[in-house]
Amino acid sequence: MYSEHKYQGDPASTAEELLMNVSELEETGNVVDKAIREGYFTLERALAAYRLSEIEYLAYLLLKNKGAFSTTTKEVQVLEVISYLVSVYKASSAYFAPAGKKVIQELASIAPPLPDEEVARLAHAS
Amino acid sequence: MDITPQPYTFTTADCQRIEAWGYSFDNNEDLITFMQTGYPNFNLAALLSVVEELFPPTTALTIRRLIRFNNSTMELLIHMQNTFTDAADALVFKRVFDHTQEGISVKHEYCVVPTAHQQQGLIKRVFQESLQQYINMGLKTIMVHAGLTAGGYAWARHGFVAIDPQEVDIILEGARKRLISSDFEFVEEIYNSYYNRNPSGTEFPMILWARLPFMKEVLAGSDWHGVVNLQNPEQFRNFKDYVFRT
Repeated sequence: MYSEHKYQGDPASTAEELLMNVSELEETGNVVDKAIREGYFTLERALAAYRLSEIEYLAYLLLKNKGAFSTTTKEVQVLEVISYLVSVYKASSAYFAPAGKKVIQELASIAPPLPDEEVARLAHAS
Repeated sequence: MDITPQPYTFTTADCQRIEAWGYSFDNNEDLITFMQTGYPNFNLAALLSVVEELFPPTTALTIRRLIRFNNSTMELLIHMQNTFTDAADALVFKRVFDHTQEGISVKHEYCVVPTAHQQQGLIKRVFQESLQQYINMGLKTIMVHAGLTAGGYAWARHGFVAIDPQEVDIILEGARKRLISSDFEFVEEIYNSYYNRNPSGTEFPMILWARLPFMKEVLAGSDWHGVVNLQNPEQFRNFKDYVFRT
């Protein structure tokens, strides 16, 4: 029993138990952030690679930042949420119909989009 | 949750507690000196008290326990295991601490509870206490051989980085054979991006592969050696956040 043997490793069941209470959305959102932050993918390409929709990533960003949001006024919250919304949709809005494009442009004039890296960094920092 | 290092001095009383649980070792005085000099601030009795509280009630089989230490290599082995014949009944806790050029490391050799007791939080409690002790002793790296019973996929999700480029190459080739080209593009893009920046890199971010939905099957059958560097703020934070999540 105690003799030397080939180095094994903790099994999958052990790793999975440690991941209890971590949602799919959080796990995938964290990886999307890392891929963007470290320059592997743009936001648009990261969402495509990890099969995450814009709406899912937006939900992840808002949940991830809820602690930071809670310390700001509701007015600031609205502006920051618009900024996230525009940031997340800025790539796909190139394919929107004119009315949709106008909405994004109007929102961007209120709260300019953030660079991809900044969105990922803010989510990670909170 | 923050983990702060807690100073501790290993004593004769610790030896007595450990012996009372049934661990055998060669010589009390030697172990005290070994722990105080080789692994200062490691409260071994605190870690084993969690293991002994949670693990033995999961089995009716006989449990064998051993602590082995080597004063010249500074290796420390902790091993408790029941006399299972069916893998579903296996109860094992095995850790090997060592001193490398970079600092103290631990090999997570095997930690499993019987199938009927999995996913109940027992492992999490043991990992939480382990991490506290790793911080106490200033441990640098946790090493795992990801591959046993689909661990290749599961440990990648934890942020363990792959240290051997040859093992990463094998996984890449497996992906090339199994995936459609539009999916494989993403896999190769991550690989090229990392190794172009780090030609002999030993910290390949497996997590970026693991969350690609089409990579689950490829990684589930993979075999690679990974580490988490506890002195790397991002790797430490990711691992700690999952271990302490309730």
